[in-house]
Amino acid sequence: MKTSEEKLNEALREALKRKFDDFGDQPNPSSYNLIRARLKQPRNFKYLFFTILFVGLFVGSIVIDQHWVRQKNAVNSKSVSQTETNDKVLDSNTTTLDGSAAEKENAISSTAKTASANFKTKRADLAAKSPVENSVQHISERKVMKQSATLAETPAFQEKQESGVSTLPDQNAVLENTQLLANEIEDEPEATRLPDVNRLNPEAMKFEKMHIPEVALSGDIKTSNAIHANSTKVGWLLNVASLKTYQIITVPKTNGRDFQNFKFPSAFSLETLGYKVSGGFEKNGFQFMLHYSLFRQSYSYEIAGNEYVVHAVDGKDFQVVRRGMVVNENRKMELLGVGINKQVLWGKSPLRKYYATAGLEYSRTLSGSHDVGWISVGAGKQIPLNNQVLIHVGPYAEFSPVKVPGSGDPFYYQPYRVGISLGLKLIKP
Amino acid sequence: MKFFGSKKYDSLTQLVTACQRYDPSAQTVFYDRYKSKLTGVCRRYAKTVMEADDIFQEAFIRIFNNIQDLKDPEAADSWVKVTVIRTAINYYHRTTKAQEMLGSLDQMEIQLESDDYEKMIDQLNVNDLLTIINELPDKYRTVINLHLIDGYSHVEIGEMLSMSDATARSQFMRGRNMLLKKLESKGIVHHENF
Repeated sequence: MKTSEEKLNEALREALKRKFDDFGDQPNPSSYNLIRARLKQPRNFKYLFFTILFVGLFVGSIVIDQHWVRQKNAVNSKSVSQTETNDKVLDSNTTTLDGSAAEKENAISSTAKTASANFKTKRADLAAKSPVENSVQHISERKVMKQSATLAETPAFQEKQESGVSTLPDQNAVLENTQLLANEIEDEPEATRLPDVNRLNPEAMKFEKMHIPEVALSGDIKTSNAIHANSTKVGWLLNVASLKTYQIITVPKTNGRDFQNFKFPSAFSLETLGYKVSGGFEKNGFQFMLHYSLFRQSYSYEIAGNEYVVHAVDGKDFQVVRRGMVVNENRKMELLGVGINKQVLWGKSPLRKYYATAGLEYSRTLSGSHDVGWISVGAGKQIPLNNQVLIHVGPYAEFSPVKVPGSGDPFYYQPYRVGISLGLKLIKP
Repeated sequence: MKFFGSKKYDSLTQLVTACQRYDPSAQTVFYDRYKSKLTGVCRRYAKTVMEADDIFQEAFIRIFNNIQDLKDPEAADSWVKVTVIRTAINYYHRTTKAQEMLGSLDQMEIQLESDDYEKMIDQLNVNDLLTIINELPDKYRTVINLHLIDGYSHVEIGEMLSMSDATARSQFMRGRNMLLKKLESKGIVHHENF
């Protein structure tokens, strides 16, 4: 049985519930904007996508480049093995000849094998020898090859080949030809006779005392630019970067003033494109730079007023909009700063290398005199232009860990920039 | 459905799931769905309209930032209401100083029959009734709201307000008596039935 207290409570509860069960009220119209301003930001997959794309392109380009280098090496080794195969074909042809000829030809075949082996050995030695040695040897080899080709082109040789008779010359003919070749070489003036470098002792040889005639290098022999990329030497640097600037704006709590309806340029707008010019020097991989950069701050917002406008939505509902005074911001941010970067290089090629840089920068805005700190990272490829100039090209990004107060507005800006960097490195020989 | 202006969300589950992904358009629909009802709750628990706005904003920030914790999206209605009530309690925990309780009112003798108060309240305009509730000291107002309107037991109220259930009951009795006194002081004429 309920007491009078309980009855009173129940009566009150019933009455109050009837009054408040369906009770609702309209919130302050600016509440939603204030709530949104303080909500956790959703993950921005757009930037994640671009980051993955950026890293993917960089890694992909390295992989493709390395693949090309390997493929190029494979082509070179293939041409060497092709020569080897031709030699083998020559040997097998020799063994199919009739017995009488075969006996005679065995000696020639073994001579040819030895010559082929010597030729291959010489080719392999080419890389290890000096350009002068290479060119001398190259000319000797070409001369022998040319004479063999001339012999093969003679009508008598071709006639024998067509009639099925062994095309290999008999021992007498070989001896005769060798004698003729030796006589021909002996007849040459001494000044133009080339020494057989294989028979010389390289250690005992003094190049400055030998009066070796100048030799025109063959087109087959590649020469390389001798880059003096010694990291202990001072290199002079000049960089230009085109950078897309993004900014995180912090709207602080202000007494009596509400800000609403911020509008920013789209992610691909030219309004957010800036640039950066840097100059300095490098020693031991450390780069000491002076930076000048420029970017724009273009956006608009409203200072909320005290007037409210009611709009009908679908004829049923109403939407209350707070009126505000529109403010358009469009100003240039010029920065001058100093920075230090550390660059590392890697890659198999002595000239074309990949690089990665990381650095710190301290800048000051030219208008407003605010300090900005930057953390920068870059990566890319080093390409030699000539023996004194290297080009660096690759993606570049920098981020400011500090918030910069705006000039003329109560907001704080935290910029970050992403773009492409192109640099020159000048090295004194 | 009546609540969903956008065709994008066909159910409360879809709407909550989208809010859990921090989808801004879903958050707008979610806000529009609850704003009126929750403002009403805030008005009951707050002393002034300004404080009600503060509680409302703080509650919605908590709702959107913690909506990941809502495991059953279909229970969103009760979850948001509980969040608002807890926000209001926290708000007054932070802001309320030791208030002077009017002892003379607490000791008032209640002699009316329950039907009389039911009639009185029914006759009152909701805004007038809200004004009377808002005038109660913070602790009493909170307990009256929790027990009489939102249906919490004294044990639950004790847990929510970090006090024993006996204290919660005592606070309620004092608050209720003060409310009745205020109803009388508003000039509501009653008759006594003995």
